[in-house]
Amino acid sequence: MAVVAALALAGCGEPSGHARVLAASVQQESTPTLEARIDLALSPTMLEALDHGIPLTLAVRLRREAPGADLDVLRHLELSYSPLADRYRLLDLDTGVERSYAHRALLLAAFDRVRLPLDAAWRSAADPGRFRMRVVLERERLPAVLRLPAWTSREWRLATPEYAWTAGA
Amino acid sequence: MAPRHPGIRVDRRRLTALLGWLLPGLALVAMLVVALLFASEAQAERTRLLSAAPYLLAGVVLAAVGLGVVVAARLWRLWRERARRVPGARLRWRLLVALLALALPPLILLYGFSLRFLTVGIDSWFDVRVAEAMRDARALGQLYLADAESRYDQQTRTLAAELSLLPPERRGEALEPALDRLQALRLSVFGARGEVQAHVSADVRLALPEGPDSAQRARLTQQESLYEPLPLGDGLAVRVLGRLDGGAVLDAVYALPEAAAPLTRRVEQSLNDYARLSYLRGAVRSSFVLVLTLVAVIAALVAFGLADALTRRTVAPVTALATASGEIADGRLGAQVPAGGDDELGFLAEAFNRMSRGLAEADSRVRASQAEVERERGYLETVLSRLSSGVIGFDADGTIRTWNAAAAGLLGVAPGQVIGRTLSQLAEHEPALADLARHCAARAGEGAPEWREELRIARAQGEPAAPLVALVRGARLASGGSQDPGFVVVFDDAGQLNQANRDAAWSEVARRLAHEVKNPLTPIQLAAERLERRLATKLGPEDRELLERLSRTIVAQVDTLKQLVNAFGDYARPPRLALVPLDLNRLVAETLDLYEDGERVRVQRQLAADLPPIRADGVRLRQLLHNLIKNTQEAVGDGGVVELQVGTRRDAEGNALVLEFADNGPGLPAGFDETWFEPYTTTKPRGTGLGLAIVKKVAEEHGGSVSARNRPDGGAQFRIRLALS
Repeated sequence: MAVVAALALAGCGEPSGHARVLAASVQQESTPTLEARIDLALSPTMLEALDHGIPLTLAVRLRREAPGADLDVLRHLELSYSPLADRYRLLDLDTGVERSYAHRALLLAAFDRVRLPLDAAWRSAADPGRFRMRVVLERERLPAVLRLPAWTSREWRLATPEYAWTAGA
Repeated sequence: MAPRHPGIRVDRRRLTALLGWLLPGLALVAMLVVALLFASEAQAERTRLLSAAPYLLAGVVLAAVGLGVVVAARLWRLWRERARRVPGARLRWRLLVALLALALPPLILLYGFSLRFLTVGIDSWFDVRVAEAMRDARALGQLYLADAESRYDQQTRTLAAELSLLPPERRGEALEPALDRLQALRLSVFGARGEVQAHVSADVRLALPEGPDSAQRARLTQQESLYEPLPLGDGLAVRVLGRLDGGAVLDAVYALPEAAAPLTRRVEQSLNDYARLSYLRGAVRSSFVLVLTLVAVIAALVAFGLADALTRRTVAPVTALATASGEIADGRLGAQVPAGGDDELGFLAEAFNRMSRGLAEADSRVRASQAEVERERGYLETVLSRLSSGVIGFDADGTIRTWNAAAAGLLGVAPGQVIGRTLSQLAEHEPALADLARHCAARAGEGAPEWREELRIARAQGEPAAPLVALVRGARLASGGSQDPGFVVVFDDAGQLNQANRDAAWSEVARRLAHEVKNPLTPIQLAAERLERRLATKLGPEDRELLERLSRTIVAQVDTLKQLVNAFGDYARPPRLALVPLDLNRLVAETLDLYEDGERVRVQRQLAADLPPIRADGVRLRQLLHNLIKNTQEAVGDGGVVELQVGTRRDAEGNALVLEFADNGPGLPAGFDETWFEPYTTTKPRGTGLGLAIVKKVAEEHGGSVSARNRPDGGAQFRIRLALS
């Protein structure tokens, strides 16, 4: 019991990184597209893991609340490093579209303008409604041996405040 | 209390025992499963456990702690049982310690060596030569990529030159055929401001145009083209950026040659894995140590569980035997132990059960015999206590074993004073009985089977103090074996026997008198009266007077004879008592009231209060009092004044009432003894001699006795004892 309590307390510290949504909107183009500006800052431990080939997965959760027309979507973006090419990759796990960057800073800077195509149901997003968005690190997708440290260490936690906005009013 | 249904009765002890094994067993199995899962997926990048892993680990830790508590509790309980010397606990403790001493050291040794091998094994993955090989492979791969890129660079420059000749709006038309011709994966043209002028793609992963960043544009101002490897899926591609006129940029992505693609993919994968493993080395080691520790703990717990179960199973028959032996030692015979298997312990349990049953049966027989002996002893003691004969039993060495109530009464010595003493001790402590002791010792020493004689024995104490003339009969007790069982002496008061014989004789005389003499008296009386009537008129005055006087004499003497015969009849009448509870004081008072007149008869009463009622025949008791009063009147004479002192009380032992009757007569004659209570013993010239005999008889009919003595200040005193029960 003491061991479990100690492990739980160890994971309760202040997060070492953050993924804050600075601005977001759903653009009604040829296909509905989520456009967002995200301030992503990974902890040194996460960056070191990324440089050593550990892929990090960010989950983008978007919810629209409207009377009788709630919508939910969960998208996954994987950050990884390719040692032979010596480049960093950003892969949309849901569509398979990927981009690569020569430097890690460029990879992180790419989150300044994220565009994620949504399905046709989000055309109704042009109607009035309340939107909520959050970006989180999916620690469950880490390698098994890292999962326990990630669960207990603040180095593996991101501050992910929810971003909300109202559109179509 | 809720009714119990026979079909769903639950044995709580068994259920508790089952849960006591089932729950730890399930916890162990769960821990084992989790440990195996951790072990199998410790190196996996993505596992099925995912989010559940921390909770599983926490559960396992909890289960391990719980099991540890259970083990500690069981050890503590066993330790306490051992300290309390509970049967079987010490043996169980010893066996458990021995089994754990056998099991745990190899386990600890194995655990230690496994940890060591684990650490060394993981470190060996990252050998220096392996690291160098990986670095070389990466350099080699990058050289190959550079070579491929240079080849793609040339054809991209050529395409860029062609596109530079076309206006921006027509460049898209040229890209489609170029995509097929160059076997490119993607071709895009970006304007000077980064806008997409044309875009074609042969791979969905490259469906979106990806323009050059500012750094790439800056480099393109210095050189015509630049190239770089591009990660694509699990492999690589080559991306070439070519400069067009007007600040436009051509972006071309090419797949590697078919033969090189899988190689570069594997090299990329290996480099990735090596880097990942190198980074995760500590975590992997910790994971393996955790799993190994978990397995070691499980093994230790299983070892303890098996050792505990084995010791319980082994010691249980011994414990049952020890418990049952204790019960037998405490006198609870017949204790049984559960039947064991077909091993030596089972045979021992069966033999023990047979022995215990045999002991119980033997004990039952002994108890039955003892009860029978007690019953016989009680019967014998009752008989002996009711006997009027004195009975004294001796064992072979002359120690007194039996001394009945009659012996105590006749000899004046209570049983408690003599039981357990030898004949010589009896003679020493009771000198009055020395003759009897010597006589018995002598006869026993002679070895005669029986003897009979009359002895004159001094009484030890009590009253009467006159020597006892006893008819003594001795006999050696029958022996069932070679041991001498001793002898018994029976004696009777010869005087009492003679008295009884005389009483019986007098009763017979009285009965015959009443029957043979009474019958002719009436005809004699009638004949005398008839003779007087017939002859009185025929005789002269002188003869008539003589006749009348003689007739009266005859009639008077016949009346006297009738009275005498009636008195004998009363004496001889068999006792047909009508016993009822009555108040003795009241009966005495009513009887005295008939005589007391204050002149010729004066009575001084001393009747004790609170006398219990006595079961007696009132008519007979009144006759007793009449006889005593009449006896006094006759003793005082016709002219005298009768002064009586009549008292009642309860005797000292509380088992009889005593009636004391004193008079002012001349007192008892000299030589007065028991014979004066026999019929026809009187000093009075006109007495029948039956008064005191009847008094004695009535007293004896009521379980009592009569005695008499002279008072110091004159007169006689009679004391009548009447038994209360």
